[in-house]
Amino acid sequence: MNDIEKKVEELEKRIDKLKLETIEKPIEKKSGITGEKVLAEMIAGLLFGFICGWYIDEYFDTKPLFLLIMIFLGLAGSIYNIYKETEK
Amino acid sequence: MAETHNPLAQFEIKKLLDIDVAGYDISYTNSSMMLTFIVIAIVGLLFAGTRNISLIPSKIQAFVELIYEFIANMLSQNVGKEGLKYFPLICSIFLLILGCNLAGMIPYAFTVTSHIAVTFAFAFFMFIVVNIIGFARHGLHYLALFAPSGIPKAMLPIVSVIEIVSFLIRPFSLAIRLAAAMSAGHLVTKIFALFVISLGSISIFFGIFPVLFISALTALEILVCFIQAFIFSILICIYLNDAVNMH
Repeated sequence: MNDIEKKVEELEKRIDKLKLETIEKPIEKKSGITGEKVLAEMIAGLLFGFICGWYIDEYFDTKPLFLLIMIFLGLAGSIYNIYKETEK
Repeated sequence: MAETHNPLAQFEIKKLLDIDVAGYDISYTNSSMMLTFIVIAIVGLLFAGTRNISLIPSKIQAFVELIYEFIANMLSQNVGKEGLKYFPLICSIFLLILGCNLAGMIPYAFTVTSHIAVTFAFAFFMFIVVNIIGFARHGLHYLALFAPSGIPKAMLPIVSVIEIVSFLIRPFSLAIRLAAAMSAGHLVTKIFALFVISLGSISIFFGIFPVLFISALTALEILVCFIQAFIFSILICIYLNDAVNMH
């Protein structure tokens, strides 16, 4: 009886070890950059810039100033995102 | 004739029940009706799968276990062991988006996720939740995410501004990707359905080709439904990894 319990314990330890190994294994990073991803990112950057700029302008009553700044910032951010994506 | 065959007519929102609370229009529309059905279907599936749990699973229990293992694997691979705490979050958003996408493939059904208002609500809500998790775990140290190491001091203001902006863009790109993929597929299907009429009026023989194409496209669309739900939840996982583990 004791022998079997020991065996079970040993096996459980092995299972735990294997589980840890599979879980902690870093995922293989594949460069999953596609045209669709780039497109979504670019549109998202512009949209973000437009919406933020528009509402900041409305709040401070400085019509085209923040709109322009935020659109360019949004573009820069989206390009930075794409760059990070390709770097992986 | 032209109006009834408008390819965009399928995305129209129709009010079924007018509700107006304090000036806000919260009418019950065909979109909310679809969402209600989908939520009932998902909850029903999960209840049916977990009602009589046995060691030898029934078909429906095996299916629910498959979903569980799929999402638990995704979380543990992308976030690590800590991430399993956030299983309900990822599981519910994955099942909801998958349900919406697949329910849209039923003829005459409304595709909830084709509207950017809905997908943006999903994405923005997840974005806020992930950030709350990040702040709860790391406090103000979480802001170090915006100051990458190994950058000269003089460059830090510029780089961190771009980091913050690119961080804030995330919910937008999530929302746009999902909505664009779903509405584009449905539009293409509808436009090719119009070709059946115009080519079929020449000869019945020509009308067959668009039908063949549509059936192939429908198969592709079902694949896209799965892929988009998967991409959405895996990106949330990646953002969660940033919030939980912080590089």
